[in-house]
Amino acid sequence: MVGGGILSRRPACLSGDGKLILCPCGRLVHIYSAVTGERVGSLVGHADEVTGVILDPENADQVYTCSMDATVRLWDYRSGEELSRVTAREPVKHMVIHKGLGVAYLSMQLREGGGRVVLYNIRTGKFSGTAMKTRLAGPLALSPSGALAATIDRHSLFVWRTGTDIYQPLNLHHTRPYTCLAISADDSLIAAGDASGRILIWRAFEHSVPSGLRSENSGKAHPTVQPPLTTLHWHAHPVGCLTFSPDGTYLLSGGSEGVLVQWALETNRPGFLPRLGGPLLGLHPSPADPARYLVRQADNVVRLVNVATMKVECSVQGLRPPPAGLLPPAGVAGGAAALLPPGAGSGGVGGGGGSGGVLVVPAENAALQFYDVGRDRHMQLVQVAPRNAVSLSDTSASGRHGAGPHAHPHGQPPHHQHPHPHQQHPHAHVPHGGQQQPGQPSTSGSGPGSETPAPPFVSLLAFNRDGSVMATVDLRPDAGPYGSTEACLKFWDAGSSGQESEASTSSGSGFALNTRVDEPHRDLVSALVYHPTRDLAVTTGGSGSESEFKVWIQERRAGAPGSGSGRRAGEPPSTHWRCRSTGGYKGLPLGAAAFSADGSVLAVAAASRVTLWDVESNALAAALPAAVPTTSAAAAAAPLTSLAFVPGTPFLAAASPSCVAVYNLLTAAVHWCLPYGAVSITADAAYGLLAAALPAPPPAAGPVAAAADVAAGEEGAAAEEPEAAGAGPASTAAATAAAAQRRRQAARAAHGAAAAAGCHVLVFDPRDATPKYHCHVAGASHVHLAALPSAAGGGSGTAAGCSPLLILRDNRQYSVAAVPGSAASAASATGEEAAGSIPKEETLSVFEATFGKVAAGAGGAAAMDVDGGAGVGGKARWAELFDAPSHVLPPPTALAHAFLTLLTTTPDS
Amino acid sequence: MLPGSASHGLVSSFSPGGDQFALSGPDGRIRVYETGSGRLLVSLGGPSDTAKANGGPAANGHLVENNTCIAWVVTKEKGKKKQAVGVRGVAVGTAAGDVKFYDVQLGELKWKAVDAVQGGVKSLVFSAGQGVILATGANCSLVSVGVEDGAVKKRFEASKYPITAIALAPDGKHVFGGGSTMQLWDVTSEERAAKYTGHPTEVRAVAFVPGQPHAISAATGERHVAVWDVPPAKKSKKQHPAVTTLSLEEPAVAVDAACVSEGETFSVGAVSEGGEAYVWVCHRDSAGGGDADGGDATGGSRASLACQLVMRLRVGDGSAAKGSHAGKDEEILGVQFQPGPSGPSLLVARGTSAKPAFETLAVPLEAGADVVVSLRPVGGVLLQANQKGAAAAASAPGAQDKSVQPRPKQAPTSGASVTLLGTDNIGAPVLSRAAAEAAAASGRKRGAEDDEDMSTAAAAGVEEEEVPDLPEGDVPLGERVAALEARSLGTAGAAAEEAGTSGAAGAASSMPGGSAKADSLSVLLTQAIRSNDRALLERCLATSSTTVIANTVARIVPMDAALFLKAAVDRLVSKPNRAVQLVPWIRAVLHHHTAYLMSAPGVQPALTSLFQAIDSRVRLHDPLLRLYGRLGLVLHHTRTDKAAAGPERPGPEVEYVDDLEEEPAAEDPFAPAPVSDDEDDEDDEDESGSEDEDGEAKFDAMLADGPQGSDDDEDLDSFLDDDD
Repeated sequence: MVGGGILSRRPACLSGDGKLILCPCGRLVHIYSAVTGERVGSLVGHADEVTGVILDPENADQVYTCSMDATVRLWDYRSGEELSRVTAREPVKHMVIHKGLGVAYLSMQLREGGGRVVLYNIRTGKFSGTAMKTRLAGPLALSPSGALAATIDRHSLFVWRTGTDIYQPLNLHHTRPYTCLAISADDSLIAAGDASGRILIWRAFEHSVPSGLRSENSGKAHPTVQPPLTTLHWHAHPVGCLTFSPDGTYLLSGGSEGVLVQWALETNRPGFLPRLGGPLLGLHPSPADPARYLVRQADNVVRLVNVATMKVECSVQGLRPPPAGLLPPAGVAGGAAALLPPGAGSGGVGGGGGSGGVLVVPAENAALQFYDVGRDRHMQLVQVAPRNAVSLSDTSASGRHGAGPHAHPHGQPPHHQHPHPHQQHPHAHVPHGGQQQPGQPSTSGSGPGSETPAPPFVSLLAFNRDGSVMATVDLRPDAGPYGSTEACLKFWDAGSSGQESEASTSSGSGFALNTRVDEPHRDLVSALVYHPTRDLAVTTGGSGSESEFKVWIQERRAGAPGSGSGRRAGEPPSTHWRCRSTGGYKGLPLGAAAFSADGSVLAVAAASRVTLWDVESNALAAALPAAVPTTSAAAAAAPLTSLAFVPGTPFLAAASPSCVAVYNLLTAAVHWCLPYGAVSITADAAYGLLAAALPAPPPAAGPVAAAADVAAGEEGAAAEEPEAAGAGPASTAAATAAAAQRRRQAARAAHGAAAAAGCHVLVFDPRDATPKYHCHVAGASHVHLAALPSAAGGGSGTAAGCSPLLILRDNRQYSVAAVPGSAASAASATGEEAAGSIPKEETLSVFEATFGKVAAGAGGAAAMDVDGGAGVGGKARWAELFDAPSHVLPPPTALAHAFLTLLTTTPDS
Repeated sequence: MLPGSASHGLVSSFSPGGDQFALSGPDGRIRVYETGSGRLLVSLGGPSDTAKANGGPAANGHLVENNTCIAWVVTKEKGKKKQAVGVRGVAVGTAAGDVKFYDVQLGELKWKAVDAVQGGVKSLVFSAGQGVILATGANCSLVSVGVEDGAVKKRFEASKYPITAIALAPDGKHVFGGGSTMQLWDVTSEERAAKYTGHPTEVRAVAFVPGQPHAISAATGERHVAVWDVPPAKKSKKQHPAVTTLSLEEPAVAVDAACVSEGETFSVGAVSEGGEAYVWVCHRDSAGGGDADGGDATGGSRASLACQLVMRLRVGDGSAAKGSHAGKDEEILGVQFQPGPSGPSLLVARGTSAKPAFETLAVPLEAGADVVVSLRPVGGVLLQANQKGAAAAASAPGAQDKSVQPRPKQAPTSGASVTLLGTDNIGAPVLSRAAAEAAAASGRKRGAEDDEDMSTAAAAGVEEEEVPDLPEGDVPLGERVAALEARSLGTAGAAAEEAGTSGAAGAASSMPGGSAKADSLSVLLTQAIRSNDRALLERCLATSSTTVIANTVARIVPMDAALFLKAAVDRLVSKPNRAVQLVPWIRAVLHHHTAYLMSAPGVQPALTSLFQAIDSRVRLHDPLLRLYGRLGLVLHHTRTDKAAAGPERPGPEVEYVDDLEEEPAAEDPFAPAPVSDDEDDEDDEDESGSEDEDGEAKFDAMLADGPQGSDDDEDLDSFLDDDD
């Protein structure tokens, strides 16, 4: 089963009668009802990402789709059948079609870089011999009469007459790069938006366009007389989308402000539909109703907007993209996504929630999205920190707004013609003053856009067993006075309907804030876990030697003494949370935590070691050694980023950027260790298995370097070995600031490289380092894993198989992977091959094939070397020595020699 | 389901997966909610849609179709690629006999099978195996309607009597149901498979127990849910009795069941008329006997069932006594069991029809110490309670400012209910400043807070203790008592009447200063209509003097009259016991503004619902008249015996008392209604909705026809009183 995915990124369209919305989503085109927003069907067939859907202008029941698989297909969307197909040479990024003239222009992305605009004749089914070269495949526009077509290419706007080959396009040059364009219905106006937020409108430009006849001076024509130009400036950010109303009296524009602007072209006066909640990516008029427009938003929402009433009529909500501040490492470490099992979700997510579980993911603006996995449907948003959707100007890029982090995007735009009402615009309110500094190296919030203050986001979340209590940590990266972050721990109670207004959710049920803890730790909060049976939560965090973990317990508030407190007697006794105890281990930074299945043991990762604590008495029970793969024995082991107890077994799994280790708690020793960094691990409670997502090694250094354009030179080494990227450059670089900068770049480069290669999801039996099942998730640099509790296999832990795995990719597409033949995989039969998500029964040979390259690159060492020498079966030899109850073991003096011998012998000897 | 309650006139249904909830009200619209988020997914049908389907607004004179039953249709078409999602819709049966099918995904009417069941559809089920919707109703037959196009495929004369409720067996071939006698039919072979003793009254709800050979049913007016063996244990031509019955306090309107463990234990859920939900766990006892409380096994043919009431759900604090549900605004609208890995859970829809809320509750397997589960009211500004409260507050002089506030419950996020911890927080929680302030707030604030939440008696008690602290704008004790009484009676109209009869204080408090004349009342009424002021309108409606009414209505503009008619009809429909008060007004409007009402198209819906209301109420008029005649005869005979002893008193042939001219109350437009309340209530409980102004006038006339005098009238009244 595949779900999620980004719906709003590519051009969508409305059906001929305006009742259906067709959105490209990955390789599919999803069809939604424009009345209810429910999915009613899909067009299946493309082999690669669909880049656009266009309604056939003549037949309202058919649509054209273009795709990166270099085909253009015609579909009957009511029956879902593919009618015809045109194969292009290159991946098609954009397309316009004029049926009357029988022409289509395709904007193609060449595989070797650069773009081409190609004319295709629908009648003859032939491509034109010539093409227009562009630097990038840009969007296209075609006037409704079909007389003119246009495209943009950075600083140039090319307009040409249709019908013949493109010989001499008119080039309208601009000092800033264009972002979007539109041609009005009567060919009299052409509008283009630029990166500075200006909208340029040329009137009466038609005579300037050279005739399509071949002349001796072919090439790009610069007009001798510039056509009259009007500039509209309201947007503070790059104009995201433009479209003319069908009658040509209005121009609609949108951008990252989240405001739909409707310009009356007579007066250039703007009207607004504010608070759409996310940056606008596209505007598409409805063929049936001139007042309706389809609005695509960057937060994966497609809305149907009626501009006559300025109301949103229908919204299709996909799984929201992760917040910008949440870089992959943070997402990996914290696991900032949670899965509520199907039976749970009593009050917080209303009734009937989730036949297949409820996925909870952080979204932009410090919101949490609840998403029904089984039905692939948005459920609700919970606002964790009060915040409006705003767009922040980066201080460096927009000097005209004045410096300072107080982004005031609509303060005084230079070309502003009319004072606009202030309340129309969502303004950024940065609560704390001070200068914006780049985030600290340890801060994950300093992402690609570290120049702009990153918006707050939810970095960690945890639920209790039945989903009635939620704990969240939201991070405000820019809040501190010196550019530090400010974390806030919050505990929420589900569905107490009397207080739902405080939860600021729009839906009928939700979470009500119970307790708020500002700055639970001195610095970052690195982990948050909830006790499996009791109302108890543990956070770890703090920086340096002040690192500690805190145990939070829920406490019933003492009954109101008499009538003094004003609390009514009939109300149930309220609860609150408080910190019960704190702990630390040798001043080591604590990075992860986990509870055992019965809740008696708390494991906390201290740097590369694991400490075990008694939950009740807060006493240190044991400290497990660091798991160091022998291949990198010289370097210090990387700090662990996640821990997971495997229920039903005495094993504890730990993952760090450099290794995956499994500890045997009976012997308090490393059971096995793989020298590959895992981005996510999860334990399968029903079968006692361990699933880990390992980033696949990049195929080769060359393409990787090309893909990661930022990281050049010395960062190539980092790109080659993504799992070591965190540690490597930092040790080599001298200046710490430079190191941090480079590290971020390296992380990004590694990210890009890994994204090309994808991830391997391996399911292990914790007793053995040999993976049982394997599936390859292509094109995703990091995935989040969660085991869905399977309905069938709960009782028999010994049966072969594993619970279905929910694999959430970073592009917010998720797939449910199940063992072939199991009930879950049978239930979701179709469309599985598209994601390639069925784990196959794998043997050792496939495992070796998977890791062959890396093993070779790492110096020919055996792939399964474990700490202290590898046993034949992947078992530590000295572990065998101690594999007995303590009362039957010989005295330590007798054992010491054998133990030391085993430790000192190399595997080769 | 009682008149005046929140769920009156509603039909509702959960989708099979429990993710959606369809609700149809008296306005003919079907609203579909998502149970996960509680959000309104789509609103289907309604006047515009009906008009479209009928080909124009005045095609049959009815703009609102009365939906009688609702069924979900969820199919999954495997063959075609595109239809991976399947069809999803609701089928609706109307009182006119049509079956309509709405596509929920597209939000549009797909087809309409006109007159599929002559005389009115009573029950619908969807048979996925055959791809048909089975409809039944007044024409005693099972009608198969194709899901694709709405064509009637076949009709099967199943019974001699109307069938009012059916359910489809899990095998997809058998249908269980009936009008009063329960029967089991084989749909494919079109024959009856078994017959059961059934209910004495009309069956209202039937459901199969999945995974068990049982079905459950509930009937109108019966305070129990019957459990049947379906199919019967042994074949016989005789009627099979019910296995057991599960008693509840009020008649059930909807039932559902779920299997807990195969062949052994199952759960039964029922929603009662009073808006409460009951959940039983039934365990099949192979040893026989061993009945727990609440279950009495009557059938001995099989291993008996041990049934136990494990949960009783209600909305509110539960302190409300039985029978006080008439004015309750929030009720349980529907329940559905959802299978889970650890036994079924109960999905509950509750609240008002305006905005239901959904909740999933775990079903206990054993009866715990506390069977009654009280759910907290959802609240919200849409609730009638607030309007009532506002109206009550507005009636008090000087309290208008409070009534303006729309339930000031929205504390800021950092309000008193949130604990804020500082960095050094080991120990007691640090109260936020807001919380501290709230705790240290004066009695005035507390009083005000409590006043907002007057729904609990406890709150009122607290408030009463603090009377001396009350600010000058607060309500005095007498009025509060009056308001409480009014709330217990349920309606604002009743409140007005109560205040009027209970004496001077309440009535005087609702009066404006000075005496009101007809002229000023028309101004008031116009104001009330135009500003949509409910309180003001109620004040106007409290006038019962016919001359005042006639004068008032004659002087308002026709446009306002139409609006007023709509408002009055709305009140009449929603609160039937206000008919005495409202009918003179409606009659006056119809009388004075006939021409406009005939021509204005916008008034049609109001007139239609008025017609329906009257129609439904006069239906019982004839039998009552007959009964009344017989009673009069009997009384007359007894009296003649008595009269033989004493001297006969010759009374006038016809006595007509015109209370309009002589009555001093005619001066006062806000005088209480001439009909005394107790009589009114008695009639209401006798036959809900049967009471009508016209009927009473005729009663009077008929009495006058007889030879008996006015004291006979009193005798009759007392007789009727004793009768109850």
